[in-house]
Amino acid sequence: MFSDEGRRLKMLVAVVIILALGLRYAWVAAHMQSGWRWCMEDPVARDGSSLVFPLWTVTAIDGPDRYRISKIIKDVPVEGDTSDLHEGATVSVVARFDAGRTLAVEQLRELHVLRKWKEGLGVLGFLCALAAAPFAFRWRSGRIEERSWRT
Amino acid sequence: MADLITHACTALLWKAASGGDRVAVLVAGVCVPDLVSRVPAMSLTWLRWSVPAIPEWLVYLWGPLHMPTGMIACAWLLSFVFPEAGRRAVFANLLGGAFLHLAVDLLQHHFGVGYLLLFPFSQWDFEFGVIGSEDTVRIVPFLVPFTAAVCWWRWGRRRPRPGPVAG
Repeated sequence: MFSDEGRRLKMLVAVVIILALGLRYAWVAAHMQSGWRWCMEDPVARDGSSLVFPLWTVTAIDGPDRYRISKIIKDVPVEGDTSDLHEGATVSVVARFDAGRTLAVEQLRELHVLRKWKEGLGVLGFLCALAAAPFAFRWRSGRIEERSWRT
Repeated sequence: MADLITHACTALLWKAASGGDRVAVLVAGVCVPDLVSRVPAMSLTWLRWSVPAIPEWLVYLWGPLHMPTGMIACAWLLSFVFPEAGRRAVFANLLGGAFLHLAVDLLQHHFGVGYLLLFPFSQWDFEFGVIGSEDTVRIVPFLVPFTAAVCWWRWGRRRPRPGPVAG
């Protein structure tokens, strides 16, 4: 399983497994029996359905009680207080689908005020990892080797 | 996901406590799930707002790399870029790092679904939900110096050279 015999074939098998998992996940996500798109497929029948938008980005403020959020779907209209919101903010929203007005009526919202800091730390971590990589690993004979580490 | 700084610190602390080798590989393993899953998915999501022609499935494709089955396949794939000698240890550390990453992420609370730990066999989702999704940001200012001190104590101190044999 870990030998060099058939190494390229084993790597190909791993890639195929990863692709299969990814495609299966994409299929499951596209066929979920919930969510904004599912509600919009048959709005009247799905009026009042519960909607959950975890970690979506506010992409527009349309008034004191209207805003739009985006993630995989762009500009989902939401009814809710916008006094503490701004474009680019990250929110998690639990809402109810209103078929008559074609919008999500906010019931519960969490404003993720530290999200930008978290993303910044992610970028900083990535840059630190890039900077540290040459000290931790070396390239030799087409393979990556870990440099010696004091233990 | 917690931030990469927090994840890297947990890996260093784990190795400092356990005393094992392959420190850099474990740190790489703890960073890989976000780098191969979250980064492409988030980048494609943002890009898709301007370029709607990007298919939705391409955004979801990376999701399983942040789940146990995907982590196993990814660690197996990456282990082949290392020399044959010690490849099992590399695989174990890459996978250990990925599982440590998941363990830290499971502490968080999100609205909606948690982590799909049994995908593709089940869509059961789980998370402990004991900390908020950004709470690690508050911990980082304390965690980084603490980790640096532990690493210095574990690996950075000068070892006393053996002195001349008396008598």
